[in-house]
Amino acid sequence: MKKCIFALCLAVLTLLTACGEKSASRSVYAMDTVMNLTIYGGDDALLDKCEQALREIEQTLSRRIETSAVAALNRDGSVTDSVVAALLFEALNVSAATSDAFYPALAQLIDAWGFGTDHQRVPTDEELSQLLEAVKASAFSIEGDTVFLEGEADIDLGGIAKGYAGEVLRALLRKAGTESAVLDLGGDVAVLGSKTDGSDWRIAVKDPADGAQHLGVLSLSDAFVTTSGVYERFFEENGVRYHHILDRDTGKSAESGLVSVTFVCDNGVWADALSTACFVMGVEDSLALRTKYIGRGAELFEMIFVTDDGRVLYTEGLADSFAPSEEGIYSYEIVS
Amino acid sequence: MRSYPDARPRLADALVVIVVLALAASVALWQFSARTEAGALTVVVEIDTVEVDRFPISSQETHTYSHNGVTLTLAPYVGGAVTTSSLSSDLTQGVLVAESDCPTHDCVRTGAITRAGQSIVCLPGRIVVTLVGEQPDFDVIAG
Repeated sequence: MKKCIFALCLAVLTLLTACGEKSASRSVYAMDTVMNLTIYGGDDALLDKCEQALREIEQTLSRRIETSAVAALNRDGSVTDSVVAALLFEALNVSAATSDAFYPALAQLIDAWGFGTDHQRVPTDEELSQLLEAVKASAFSIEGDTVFLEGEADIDLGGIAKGYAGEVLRALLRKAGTESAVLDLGGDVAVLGSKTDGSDWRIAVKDPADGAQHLGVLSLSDAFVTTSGVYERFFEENGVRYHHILDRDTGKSAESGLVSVTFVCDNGVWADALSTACFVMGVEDSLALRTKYIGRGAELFEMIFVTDDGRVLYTEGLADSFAPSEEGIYSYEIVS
Repeated sequence: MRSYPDARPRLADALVVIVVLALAASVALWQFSARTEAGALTVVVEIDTVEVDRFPISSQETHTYSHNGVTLTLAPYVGGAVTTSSLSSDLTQGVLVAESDCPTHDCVRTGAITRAGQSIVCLPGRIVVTLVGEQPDFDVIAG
């Protein structure tokens, strides 16, 4: 009879386990976007810690918050802050790797265009020329935890802040023993581990031409997926669309034949920065960059490009993990 | 000579098998019924992360919400256009922001959402419109 009871308990436990691990979710408005955090095996206390971490990152990195370290750097020309120093160091590394296609000191140019505000406008060529001169004449350096900024340009870390936030949250969750989480940081996605049943997370990639459609679905674990595209922030004037991804060489919206770039990487900061950089660089230079980093041992350095002539190009490393949509209007090609 | 325990099934064994089968059937039925209930899409509106409204996607009405100095109007969407005519079940149903007085109009430009898991976000108004219901074939949307 004891064996019977044991077998019964075992069966019940098995059935309950199959129902899945409990999740905790929360939406957070931070860093100029809305974020959705879902943690499996977590609770409200852990979500509180995540939210607090996001608030602290925003309070440190937002140049629009007067008391932030980045605002102090722009105002005073120097600041001592370990996070800003570390992040700017990474930003400079990405800038160097991408011939400044990603550049963290374009704050005045962004403000001149006014993307995402109620005073969006097309700056005059003269205005852009002056701003570009200021950008090119400026320089920054890092000594320990202190950052020095020379010249008139201002720092804007918006291009990597969400990626950094994803890294911080993943580290925080790992430390708390979480093995499974999906963090939607306003469209930039960080996944921790795999799903509770051991399968990969399924990440739909938004179609830049139609928010109701998807380009396809990525099956991944432990990864960051970030997208830069013309559809995110833009305005139209006299029939011309101006988007927020600026080319440091011209001060204008980057024109590289692309509508969007989705970057898949195991590092949030690099994924965030490189989706922007690859959009500016275009397909050919982005693939050359990929070859270089794969050659250096990068395990996950993949991209999905949507071109303005209706093609979706995805790198060979995604051949097994990206399932193209069967509904779309695009033609799909694997590239390397 | 070594003796072996009696391997013939007993009444207690049969009872265990019956109970396990009954449990399995209950769980399967519970999951199936949950899916069936969730089959129809529902529009969920949150303001500042608090749910303020919930209605079926088949709703013919427009819905207006105001927060943070922003007022936006949700309208039904069918097969490519805003409509107030009767809906046909074989057309794609969705919802879109037809009007908003926010500065950027990102919510209007998002267009219609038609699948579970998709959302429209008005950041200035802190208003999020999400479709919930049938289990989507993805866990999260990037982009």
